[in-house]
Amino acid sequence: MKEKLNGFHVALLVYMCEVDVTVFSLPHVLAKNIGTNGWVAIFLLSAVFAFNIFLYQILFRVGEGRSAFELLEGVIPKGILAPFYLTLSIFWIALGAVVGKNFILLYQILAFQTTSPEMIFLLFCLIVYALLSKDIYSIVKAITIFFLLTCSMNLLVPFFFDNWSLVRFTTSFFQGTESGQTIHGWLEASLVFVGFEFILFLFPNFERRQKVFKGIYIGHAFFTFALLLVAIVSFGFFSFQEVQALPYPVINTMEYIELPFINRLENLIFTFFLFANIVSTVTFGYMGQVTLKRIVPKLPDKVLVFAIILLVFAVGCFFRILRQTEAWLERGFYIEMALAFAMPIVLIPIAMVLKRKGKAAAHESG
Amino acid sequence: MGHVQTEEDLFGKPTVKRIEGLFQDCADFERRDYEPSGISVFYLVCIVGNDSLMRDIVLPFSDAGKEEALAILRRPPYRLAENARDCMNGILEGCAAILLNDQAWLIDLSEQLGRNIEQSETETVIAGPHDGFVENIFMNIAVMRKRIRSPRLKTLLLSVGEISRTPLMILYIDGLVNPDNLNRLVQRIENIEIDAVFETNMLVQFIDENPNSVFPQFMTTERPDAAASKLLGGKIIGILEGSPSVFSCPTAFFDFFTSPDDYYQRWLLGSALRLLRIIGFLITIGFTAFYVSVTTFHYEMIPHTMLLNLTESRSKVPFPPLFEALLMETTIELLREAGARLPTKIGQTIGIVGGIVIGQAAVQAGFTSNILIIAVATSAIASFVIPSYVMSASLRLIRFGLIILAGMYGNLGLLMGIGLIIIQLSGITNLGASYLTPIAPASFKDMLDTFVRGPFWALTKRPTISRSPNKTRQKMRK
Repeated sequence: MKEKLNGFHVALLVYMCEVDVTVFSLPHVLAKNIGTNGWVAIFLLSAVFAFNIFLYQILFRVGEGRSAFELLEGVIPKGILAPFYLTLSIFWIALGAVVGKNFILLYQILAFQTTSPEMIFLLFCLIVYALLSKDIYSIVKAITIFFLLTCSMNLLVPFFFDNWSLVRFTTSFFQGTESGQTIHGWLEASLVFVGFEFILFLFPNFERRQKVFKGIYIGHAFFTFALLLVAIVSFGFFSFQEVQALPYPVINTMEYIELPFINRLENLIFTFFLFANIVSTVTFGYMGQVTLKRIVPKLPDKVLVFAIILLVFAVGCFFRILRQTEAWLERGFYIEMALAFAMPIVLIPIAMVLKRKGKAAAHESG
Repeated sequence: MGHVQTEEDLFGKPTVKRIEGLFQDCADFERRDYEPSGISVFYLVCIVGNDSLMRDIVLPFSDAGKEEALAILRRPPYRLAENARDCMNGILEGCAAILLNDQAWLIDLSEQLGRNIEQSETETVIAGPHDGFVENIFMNIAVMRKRIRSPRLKTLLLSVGEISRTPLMILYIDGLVNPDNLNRLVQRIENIEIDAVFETNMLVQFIDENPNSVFPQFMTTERPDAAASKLLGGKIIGILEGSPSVFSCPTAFFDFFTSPDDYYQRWLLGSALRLLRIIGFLITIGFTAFYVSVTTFHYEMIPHTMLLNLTESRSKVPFPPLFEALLMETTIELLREAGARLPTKIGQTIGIVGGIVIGQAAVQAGFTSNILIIAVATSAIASFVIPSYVMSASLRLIRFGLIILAGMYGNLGLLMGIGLIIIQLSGITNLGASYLTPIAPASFKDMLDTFVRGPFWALTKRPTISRSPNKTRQKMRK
């Protein structure tokens, strides 16, 4: 029995792919680049990315569910594509590594300051290996549970009511940025949405119904909702200047939660985002894996995954401080965002050409 | 000494010499000859019943002539054996083989051995039927037939073990079971190549799809009511001769947290019990590990009112929390294992000794802190809340891994461990069905009968995991 991914699981998948470390700094990024009431920008940015998803939907329909590789190889010889594939897969694997290492280094602000980050990253890689070596359905099943664990953190919002105040919002919009409204600033804020382009690699596994895309939109909408929650909580919790000054305001808000048995919940809550980062690294790793698979189709999966994890670890070890990973993550995410838009824009015409060719061939033979 | 069996010996005509050859050196093998008719009767003394021997062999054949004996043998329940192997199998199953003119007839004289139906000791209930499965396969099937009086309850006889040839009966309800599941299971059982299996929990390890996983993948039960409810859910059950446990499949992880009692209580109470078990599951795997994590790395997480007590109680302890916790967990496991191996009467002594030694002396001697005792004891108790013994044993083992990870990397280690468990669980399939049903793939209807026990009017469908062609279970309205 061949399983297919249905809308519900794809929705969770999209949510989990989009959640990563950038969520924690989002209010700061918004305050720095967009200014007062920066949370409103989330609506606009979300709409832009919804359009990006729409492009994928067109691609799925025009390409009749075929994978990006099939489409590309339909018009370009494989030999020419190979170096391109190799570059892309190394990029994705390296990006996955940076996401993981960045999380570990960030975690070390809170705890384990003296532990070797490489040791923790090794364990992280082990988990990524465990997940990546499974088939896509098992990965999605695991992601469903990770979603439940990560998403339940949204339930903590009522704990902020005491310290949250509407007074901290102003009536003026998008004022008080460091250097006015810049394209760079808006782009930096939109990095938070990176990750959903993973869906392109799942086309062959989708149920051939539009319900799947409904799931993707719902997942995206839910993620937008979570971002709004995060941003509004931070903007009402701290003053505007504080949000601008704190690099990770979301972590700071969590420090204020006190339960009868436990204090300083950020220790635990932030750790739960480990799962979101595992998912990000795994999805980038998976993208690298399927791309490499086109070059070396005969290599056993286990060997390929092991090689990918070795690469992830090696790249991860290359970065030793948070400033480095943050800078590289930003660069990587810019490229990834460009790819997210470029891939459907390039592939849709190819799919159309192939469709016409296919029709012509069917017409001739028929 | 050993008599080498040839093809000829097994598939040839059932002659006296051949039969005797097959059972050479078996002291319990007996031969009786009846002069007037010239028949020879062979059987294994220990497994045939005296009464039936008297009724079906001694009385009819003692004075019968040849013609008369032949006339009797042609009537049922005497049946003709095809060859020597047929005879051999019949004798091993408790039949007598009656030989006349190089022809053999078999008659079943087997005596039902074993204990009577009693209450299961591993799965006790307060409200609900108290009968449990026994080691005798026929008695177990009789119990099932009494519960489900339908000709659609089908039984499929297989045998497992090349030497033991232990009978295994597969039960399913025609029309409710998914034929693919049934074929796949039968295929897997037929592929087993082993000399013998003795227990259902051993058998299922040969047919599960993930042999290296720590988790049990087939639900086993000793309770007929549980087995019957699985059958009616469109699942398949298997009863093995010599084992009081019955397996059912396909199985999901959360099936191990349900008990038939849940349905015998009011639904709110049943739901509360289910939730309690899920909490018990979390405590079992995580509580001690969390203690280790907090006391090793994250003291800031403890509210200051509790911190004083905790540091005071920890101050005398010379070990780091990780060793302290491993020491106590191992002691508890020792106590549990000792309690399980000892007769009940001495078992109580173990409880008292363990209680005093662990409860007081260890703390006074400065071996452990009071709070750790609470953590360890709570985890141990919580593990017994889980109705399935095999599952609770697996979870106790996992706990050690989590404690070590928490001792190494605190909360991060703990959650990494939990992540690994989730990944492990997500990779398991049972007859192709996901082990994580009803979460992934999600089925909200099933969740109503997994994490809670919904009211009966809400439980109208059979579980999706069984992929039953007949999905509706009941049509009760609110």
